[in-house]
Amino acid sequence: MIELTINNKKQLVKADESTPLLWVLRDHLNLNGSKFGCGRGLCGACTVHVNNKPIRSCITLASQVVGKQVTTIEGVSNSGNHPVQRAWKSLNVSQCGYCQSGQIMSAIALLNSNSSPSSEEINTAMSGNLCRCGTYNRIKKAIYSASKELNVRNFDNSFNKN
Amino acid sequence: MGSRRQFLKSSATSAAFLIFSTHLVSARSLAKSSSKTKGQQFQPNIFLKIYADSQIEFIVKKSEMGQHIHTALAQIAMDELCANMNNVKIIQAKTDEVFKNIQTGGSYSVPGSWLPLRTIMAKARMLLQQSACQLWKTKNENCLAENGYIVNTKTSEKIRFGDLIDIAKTLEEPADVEFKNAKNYNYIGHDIARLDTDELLQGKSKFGIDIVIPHMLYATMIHAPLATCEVGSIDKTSVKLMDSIVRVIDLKDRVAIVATDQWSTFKASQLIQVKWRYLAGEKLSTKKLNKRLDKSLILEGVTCRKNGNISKFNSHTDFVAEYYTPFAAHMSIEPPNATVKIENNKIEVWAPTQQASAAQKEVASYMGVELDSVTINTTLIGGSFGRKLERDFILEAVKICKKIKQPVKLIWSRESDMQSGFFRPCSKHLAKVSMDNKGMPIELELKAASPSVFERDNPSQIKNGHDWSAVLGLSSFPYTVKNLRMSHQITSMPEIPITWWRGTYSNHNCFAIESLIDELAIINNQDPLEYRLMLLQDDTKVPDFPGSSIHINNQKLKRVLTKSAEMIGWKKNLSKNIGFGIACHCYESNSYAAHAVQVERVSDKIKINKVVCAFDVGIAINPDSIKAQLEGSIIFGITSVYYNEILIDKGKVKQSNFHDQPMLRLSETPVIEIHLYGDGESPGGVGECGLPSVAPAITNALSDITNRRFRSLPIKL
Repeated sequence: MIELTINNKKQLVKADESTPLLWVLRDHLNLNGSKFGCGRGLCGACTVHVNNKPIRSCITLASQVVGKQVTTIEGVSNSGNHPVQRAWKSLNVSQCGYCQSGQIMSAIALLNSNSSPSSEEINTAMSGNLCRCGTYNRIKKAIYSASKELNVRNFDNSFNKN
Repeated sequence: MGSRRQFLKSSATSAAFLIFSTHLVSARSLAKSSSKTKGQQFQPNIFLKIYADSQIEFIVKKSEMGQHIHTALAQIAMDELCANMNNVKIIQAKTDEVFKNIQTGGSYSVPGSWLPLRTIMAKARMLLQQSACQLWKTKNENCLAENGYIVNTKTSEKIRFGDLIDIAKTLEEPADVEFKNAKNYNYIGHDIARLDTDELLQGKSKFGIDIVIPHMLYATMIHAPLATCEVGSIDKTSVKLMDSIVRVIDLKDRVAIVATDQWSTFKASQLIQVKWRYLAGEKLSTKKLNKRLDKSLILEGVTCRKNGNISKFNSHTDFVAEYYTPFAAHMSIEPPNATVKIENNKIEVWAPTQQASAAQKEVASYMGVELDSVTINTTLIGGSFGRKLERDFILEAVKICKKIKQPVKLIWSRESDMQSGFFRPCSKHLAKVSMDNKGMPIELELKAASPSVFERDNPSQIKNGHDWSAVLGLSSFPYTVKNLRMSHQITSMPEIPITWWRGTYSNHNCFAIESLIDELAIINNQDPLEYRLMLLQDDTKVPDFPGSSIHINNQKLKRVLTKSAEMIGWKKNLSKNIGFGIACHCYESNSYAAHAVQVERVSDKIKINKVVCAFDVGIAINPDSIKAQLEGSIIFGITSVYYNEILIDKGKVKQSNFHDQPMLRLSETPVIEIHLYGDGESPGGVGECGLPSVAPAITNALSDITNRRFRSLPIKL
């Protein structure tokens, strides 16, 4: 038995400790939003957050995240209203959509640590996420757009506090 | 109408129009009979159900794989029906007694649906209008359909579609159809985001890989290194202690591993040692395979286009060149997968497939059951690009399920997907040209050689050595040359499984043609754009193309060329560190593309700054989604220029995963701009049509800046 905290919820999972987090999420917890693409941390389709940092869940063992906060695509918002999801929608980013959970998780992690990323910073943060349909330029635009919204919100928050 | 169209119509999937219209009557009678018991819904055709609460179900046969086809078809259907899109639920058709021809491919979903879908939806709308006329005892012309209502233009009364279904069911289908005036379209031609976007962005959408059914086990497959291998022996010692492993199954040319969880299947696939017996190809290499292409090019080949004669050729040839494209993997991020259950001799499959009906037939034949004992459910597809036209992974899952007598989900590893095909065919072209004193070609011969997908998949499509699919984009060479000969020679490579790959042979043929024309312009000191425009004199008509004719409107081709040049700022920046390239392609008579590229030398590296595309799609159903696909095509095309290459060495594939077979990343993506022309008479295809001219436009730009030619893909800079 492994005890994990997924999307703020404690979960007891009967899985071998060597099982990668991805397969615990998918096959033990029925959280299928994180996708399998390569199994070797090369494509980013399985990206989730561990303590707010993006990791590749296909090469991270479940035992390595015990006692840490795991967030998956299912946990980023209640109804798809995270600014990043909203930007993705308004720019019609998804084509087949398969890699987009991972893309969104990488984008949210980037904006959490840097709310105004430069073009270079977006390139660095997002280049581990492959997209065969070729949605990259829309992803980049969506990150800029979400960044603007987050900054307005941050400004409003600090303005209200003062 | 191109031959691919003819094929789509004549093969397992019969004519789109027939599919639509022949079922119209039966669906109406079905609806009438069921209405006696339910009385809740009106089903004017097999694709449409209107409920009493005015909710609409729209059934689609086409697979959603990123082309936003469900949204585009809903736009066409609901616009013609004058329904409110917010009330529509999209249902993916599964194989049953009504839907027998479920297939998606050939960039044909929108072109093939355009007229038949609007026809049946217009008739459904007319029935609702007539119902309102009857109810209000008024004339037909007073009843207007609008946004899910019928409006009485005299009295301004309004009634919802749902309130008319009881009357509508009693009416006879109108004989003639009145289409909505295009000026009044409120969905067609509008940018509408993919209808299931919210679910997608929350990770709730179900791709094939996400299917879960009760009591299912998990499986993966170890595949043979070549198609000409069989299992020799299996050493399972290393997995004997793994409790989760349920079975290791020898399937003669592949080995299935079944476990109680997916991860165990992948782990075991690394541990189990399979020795393969080569029936052929033990020492096979890319070099050896390419020699077969060379041998084919010595032969005459099967002529697919001929003007004048090229008799002078052997005595004097001004220009000779060879072009090469390698085997390539599809690399969709969702690997092949399928979920199967067998219960009371009924087989049910869930799979990300482009060919549900073909799969149904093959599964029924394998299981020795009637067709209606097999149901194929098409899930969302996480990228296909032609790979999921093949049914191999579905048959594999069925075989496993039959053996273990328990439901099973099969997922391939990335390594299996990368190494065991199917692959895009490789190809080689040999061009010979002689020119007049102005540098214009007067004799041009282009011989192509490649393995044939049909040779394995559908040999009846090959007539006297002529494979029409392999000459798409070759026989329709658009430039005017007095003496012209195009030919293709099928080159047998049975060791390597090949299949369709986003535009397949059009990519090979366009790369050769657009590189060749560029080279001719350069060696004659002419501008590659002007040279092309000069050579695009008359429309290209290939009347004897098997099963159909090809007609390329050269004015349209010139328009996209000129526009793309304008968009890139063609040769405006004359710095020696800047290079320009251009190329064009007409895909099967109905969509016209031109790409223009600007590259720049930055220190010792060359970078693609910008790629633009001017695209004539005839009528744009959803401009933004079309642009998205064209943006994707550019990225797909750059990947094919820099990376796509499956190499064979010592009887097996060298590449294994994304580290040694990369694809373009976000950081490498240039600025992209698309211009759409939608002023035609009917919509053309998109998915494949925007790809072929990307690669030559890029290599032409790289040649411009380096003064080297890039005749072989992927390029080595």
